[in-house]
Formats: sequence, structure tokens, C-alpha cells
Amino acid sequence: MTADRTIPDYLWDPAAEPDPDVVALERRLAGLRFDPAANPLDVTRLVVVPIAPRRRWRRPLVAMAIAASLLIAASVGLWQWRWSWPEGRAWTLRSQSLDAKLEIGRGVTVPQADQAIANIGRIGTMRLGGGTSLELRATRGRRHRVRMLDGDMHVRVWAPPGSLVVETPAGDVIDLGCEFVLSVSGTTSAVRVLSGWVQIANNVDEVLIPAGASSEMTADLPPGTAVFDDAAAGFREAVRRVETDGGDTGAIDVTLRLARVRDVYTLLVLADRNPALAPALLARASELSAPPGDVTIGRILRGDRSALWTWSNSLPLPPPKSKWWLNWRDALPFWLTTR
Amino acid sequence: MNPPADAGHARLVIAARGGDRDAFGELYQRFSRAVHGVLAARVPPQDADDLVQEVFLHAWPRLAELREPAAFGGWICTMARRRAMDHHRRARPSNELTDTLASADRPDVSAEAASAIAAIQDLPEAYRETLALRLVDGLSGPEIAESTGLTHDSVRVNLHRGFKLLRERLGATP
Repeated sequence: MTADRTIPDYLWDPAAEPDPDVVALERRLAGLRFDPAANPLDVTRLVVVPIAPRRRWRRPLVAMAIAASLLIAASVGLWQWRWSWPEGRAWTLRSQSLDAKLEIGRGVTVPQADQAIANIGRIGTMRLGGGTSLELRATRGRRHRVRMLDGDMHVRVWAPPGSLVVETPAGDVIDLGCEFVLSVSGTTSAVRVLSGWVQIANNVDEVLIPAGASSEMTADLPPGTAVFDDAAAGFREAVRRVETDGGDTGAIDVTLRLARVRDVYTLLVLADRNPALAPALLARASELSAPPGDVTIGRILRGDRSALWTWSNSLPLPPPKSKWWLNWRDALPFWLTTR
Repeated sequence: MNPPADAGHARLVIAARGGDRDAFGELYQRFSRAVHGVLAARVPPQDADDLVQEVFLHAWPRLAELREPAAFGGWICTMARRRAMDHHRRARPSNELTDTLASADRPDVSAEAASAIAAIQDLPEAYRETLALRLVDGLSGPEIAESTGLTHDSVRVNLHRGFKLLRERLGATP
């Protein structure tokens, strides 16, 4: 700032040498000067109340409420959108050599040296190995059905149970909110479950497979009882022999001997499916993991299946299918997570 | 002299927030002239004194809203500006300022003072508050800067240019 030389410093600093012009104006205005001593503050009018600090917590609280509302609205919208696949709309199938629409009734075979990825409506994704033959049978909302004649399929679905059914020559593979790998070769289908539960069913019987376990299904034979992948190879083989040659006592002995705590589920299912072997299987299961509360082997042997399921439900297994949504990781795309 | 250059008033603000009326009284002693200067630049002189009280009484329960105690000067002057605007909105249509000065409210206000303050209030907005603080209430340049939130350079410019303009309007010998 360049001060006007005609203006004295007294204007800036009243302690400086007085300037006549400014002093004259000050005197002229002197009657208006405020004197706090002559006009004291009436402190009796100051009501002493607890002065609450400004409610600054309100601002973040309101922001959080708005954010929560937006999140809920977005979640509800996403939820609705996820289940709202138009009936009959073609899926998209992409691979290095394919970029096709998978329409209802039209089959497609992934080239041998290729891999493809297809959307399952909006509920999930499937990866198809080379040579896999697939046909879309029906699609809408959260009801999707495909037919797979050969090859390998890795499915990840986050949806209520039964949203995806894969028809194979051996029978149907039904998702119960899960991730699984399915291999189809001729009339045999093998399923390995990575999360949640999968049901396999044919015209003979049906089986539930929990995460971490596998099973096989052959046309016109009962699907195999689920066995955990980390079970002893001898146990797995023995269980198969028990199922195919029910009276093979050697196989039963091996099954009982090699069973671990985690295999109690397999023992219970085997007992349910093979009443003649049930006493031995349940006794061994009881040694490994005692049944809960009022469940007794006697009750089960008398035909009380609810007791058997109470025991089964007490085991450390994946969330039941009614709580499929707990497997929220299955909503993530393949590229984000690997198992 | 008010308002203070020292930072002691921050301590007074904190004490006043806790309900210490004496501390608030001390703040009044220090800042009432700055508040008066702000008001004098905007409202009729006979109303300014009463409004000073009102501004401080209005500020008292709101001290907790002041985030930075050291900024009390700027905060109370902003409150005074708002109060002056409210005063104008509520005031009934009145005659010219000089006509009202002879009212019984301030019989002590001379016609000379009335014409001088009217001339200040007639200046461009940038100058009127600075000059009122300096010429009416005797604040120094640094004190005006602290009360108004302006920089020293801006206050100096406003003082100098405003005074020059005022002198021209009032005649060569004010």
C-alpha cells in the first residue's frame, strides 16, 4: 500500500502526533463515542444456563443417516435388479474365440483349447472348460436351467436355493446358494462343492453335498454319499464300496476305522441310507462326535429321522440353505476372489 | 483500549462459556466500542448504544457456537452487522437521519455530530465501517483490522481513501 502523503499517520495510530483535520473530526463526533463505563452491560440479564456445546455430533450423525439411507436404497435396488432377469433373454458367452449369445434351445460347445465365461442371468457366473457342451433350457428372474452333456463347469451363484439347475445325463445338479465345480463325462457327473450346499438328484435318490465335500452321480444309480475332500483316500474308497456292495464287511470296517470327526456327517448319511449298517455307523459317529441333547442312537434306530437331522445340524457344516445369503462371497466375480 | 491486541480474551471467552458473567463483562469492556463502531456506521446514533447491549446479550447464550475463542472480535462484529440489518428491516419508515437526531433519545447529539455521522454512513460501504471505528470510537488501525478481519493494508487503504472522501464531502474544513 502506498500511503497518501496528505493523510497523517495519526489516522492509523491515535498515539501518533495528532493531525488537526482528524482531531477536528474526532471532536465533532465525540458525542457519539461509546463509553462502556457509562453504559455497563446489565449482567443480571445474562441467564446462566448450562451452555451445551454446539451439537456438532448432529452433523456427522445426519451425514451417517443419509449415507445409510443411500446405502440401503442402493442395496434394495441392487437386490431387485439382481433377481430381475427378463424371461428368455439370452446369456452372454465369452471366450478367446467366442463372443456369443446363448439363446434358449441353442447349444454351444466351447472349443477344446479354449475357456469360456457366461453370466447366469444376474445371479452369478459360470466358467466353462474346453470341450464343454451347454444348452440354455430356461431363464428368468432367479430361475435358470441349463443342460450340460459333457465337460467342466465352475459355477458361482449368490441366490436363493434352486436358482440354478444343471441337467446332466446322470441327473440334476441344483445349487443351494453356492460355488461348485461340475465335471460331466458320459453318464457320470462329479461335483465338488467350494461353498454352501449343492443337491444332486436323479430318478433314484438325492444327496446334499456341503462345502469341502464331493460326490458322484451315475444315471440309474443312487448318487454317492458326500465325502470331504480331505478325508483319507482309503475312507473314500471304502465308503464307495459300502454303497455299491452293502454287505462288504471289510469296507465297513475300513470306513469305521478311518473316519475322523469331520467324517461324522458322511457316517450319518450312510446310516440313513443303509439301515442295516446303521448301528455300527452311528456307534462310531457317537464316539467321534457325541449327539446333542436328547438325541440317542436308539431313537434313530427306531426310525426317528428328525433325531438324525438334529445330530447332523449340530455338526460344523456350512450355513443351512435357508441362510444362503451368508455366503456373500459368492456374489463376487471370479477375478476378485479365487478359492 | 479495546479491542485488545493480546490474546487474553480467548481465555475470557472460555471462562464465559463456562458461565462466568464477570469474564463476559470484561469482554464487553474490551469489545463494546468495536461493536458500537460497526453499528454506528449503519444505524441512527440514538439506537446504536442500545443495540450494543442487545448484541452482547444475544451473543451470550451462543458462545458455545464460537469455534475459535481467539476469533471473538470478528465474531461479535459479524453479529453486530446482522443486528444492524435486522434493525433496518424492523424500523418503520423514518425521516432523514438528521431530522431524527433531535429526538429526546439523544438530546446530547449535536447537529454537527449528526451531519458528520450521516456523511460517514453515506460513504461507500468499504469505508464507512472503518471510519466509524476510527473516528467515532477511536480504534487504531490494527484494532480495526482485528475486529473486522481485514488485513492491515486494507484497513489503511480504507482509512486513507475514506477520510479523503469524507473531507471532500464535509468541505475543506470539517
